[in-house]
Amino acid sequence: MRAPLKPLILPDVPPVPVQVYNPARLAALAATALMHTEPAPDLDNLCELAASASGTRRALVVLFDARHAFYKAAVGCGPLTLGQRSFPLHTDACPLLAGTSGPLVAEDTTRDARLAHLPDVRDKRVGAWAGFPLRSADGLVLGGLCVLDEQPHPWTDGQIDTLTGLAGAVSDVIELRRQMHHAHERIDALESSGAAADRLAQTLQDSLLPPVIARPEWLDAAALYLPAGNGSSVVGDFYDLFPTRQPWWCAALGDVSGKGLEAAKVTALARYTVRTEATQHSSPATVLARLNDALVRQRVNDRFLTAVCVMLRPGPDGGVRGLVSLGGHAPALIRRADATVEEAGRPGLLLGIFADAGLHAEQVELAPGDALLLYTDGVTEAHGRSGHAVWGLTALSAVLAGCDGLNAEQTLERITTALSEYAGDHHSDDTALLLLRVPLPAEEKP
Amino acid sequence: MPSQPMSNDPPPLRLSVCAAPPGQVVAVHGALDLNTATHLEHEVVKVCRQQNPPLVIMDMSGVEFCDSSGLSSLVRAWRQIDHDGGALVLIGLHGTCEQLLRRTGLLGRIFPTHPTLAQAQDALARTRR
Repeated sequence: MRAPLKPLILPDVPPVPVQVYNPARLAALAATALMHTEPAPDLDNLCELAASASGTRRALVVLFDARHAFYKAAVGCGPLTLGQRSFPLHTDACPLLAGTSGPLVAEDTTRDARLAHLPDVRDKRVGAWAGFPLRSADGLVLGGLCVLDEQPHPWTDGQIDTLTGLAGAVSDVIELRRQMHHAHERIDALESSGAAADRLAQTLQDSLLPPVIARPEWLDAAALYLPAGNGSSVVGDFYDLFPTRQPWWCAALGDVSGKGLEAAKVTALARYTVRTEATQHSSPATVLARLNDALVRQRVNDRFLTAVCVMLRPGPDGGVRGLVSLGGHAPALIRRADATVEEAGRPGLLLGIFADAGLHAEQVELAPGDALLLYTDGVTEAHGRSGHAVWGLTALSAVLAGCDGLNAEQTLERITTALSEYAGDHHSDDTALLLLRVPLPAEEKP
Repeated sequence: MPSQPMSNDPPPLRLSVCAAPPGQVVAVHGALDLNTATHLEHEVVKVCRQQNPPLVIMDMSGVEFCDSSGLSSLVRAWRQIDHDGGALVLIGLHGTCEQLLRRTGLLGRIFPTHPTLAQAQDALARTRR
């Protein structure tokens, strides 16, 4: 079995614009083949031009996928190895450009609500910052050209105009690179189209199982992804947890039928759609219905998706109130503080096949010490070491009931240990788990 | 009775087809999962070529296991039969497969189920009008 993937779930992860995860944007970026590659002289030159035209010490050409911001060109940072050019997405300012229609300009970053949370700002390494979107031929934001100084200072209209023009030039170079790469690929079509598909699949996969997830202060949360025993390279599972309209948070978890690039595309579309729709609608049934519309509209064909979507908000007396909706998905499990386990959510039709999926939202109330578990089929359909007896919902419920006094992370560990003892390496499907637990008042905040 | 032997031992999925007027019975034995899903689809394509429109009774009593890939193959089988203007009904549904169809809302919606073969045959006769 390949190593499980455990995301960090932290309370203070700043929001990343939803457009970052747009599958069309990720595909356009993958097509340039510029992420995590050696510096290119033409881009270095334009970057130097940006620094000298604006009189700043530092200038960067930054590309970002769903996981990393990558310094494709850097001036004023000293020599950087390839590894030193890559940063976690949420620590860099440029991904914010995916959510703005134009430049993002800050005279004093510490006083700018959009940038003040960034580590470089808090550590006083960036005082003045100006970023300009780099766009694909279709207008999708692939990255940013940015200039920065340690000390805060104003930016002139002349500087902004010049840098806007330069960002256009950098975008043109990137488009040229994409066309060159595409031409090369066509020359040896067999090998490299496979490589391109793998690269795109990897890019999409990164957006499905994010390595860092935000959580609200009032929830103890953990997530886990176990790859299938047969080690297929592309997953069909996704999970997500993110704030929507105050004070609501949305948790979603889903599983697309089949494997491979096509499955990953559908799953990427699903996560992006849920992120987008959850800010517009307060019922998880509506969010899943909109996802169903998107899947039906895209004619994803034989692919269908099962998903569970939950909207949560803090309730009275330290509890949490929520709405659960199931689109063809296994019921969520609630473990009460007294060790009883109950199912949550009425069955709804799986998504992507019928125009009307007939979805419902069911209310749930979680008291301190209660936990809500979302999971994909991999966990309940795990085969035993011998034969076809499956682990099943009953076994999962029994293990969950036995998780007395455990926090979210320990509970998921207990479940996966029990699962591996039963199935060994036999489980044939990947498994994603998301556990949301309401902390007890006496507990230290997780 | 034509059957489809599998190369593996023990066979993970066995399919057999026989006539049951006005339709045909496809009896499914074994596991419907990622490894076997395409076998079912191929068999259904063959059945659809033999009868126009195809009236198919799928006997699920021998299904030991069904996961989401197995479910996909059932949906694709339904699509094929529906596309050819036919009808698909299920008998002998139980266990994980029944749970899965119930949970995904497909039971009754695209997969009518009947307790006995005779009742399934009656239902198909009615669809022919």
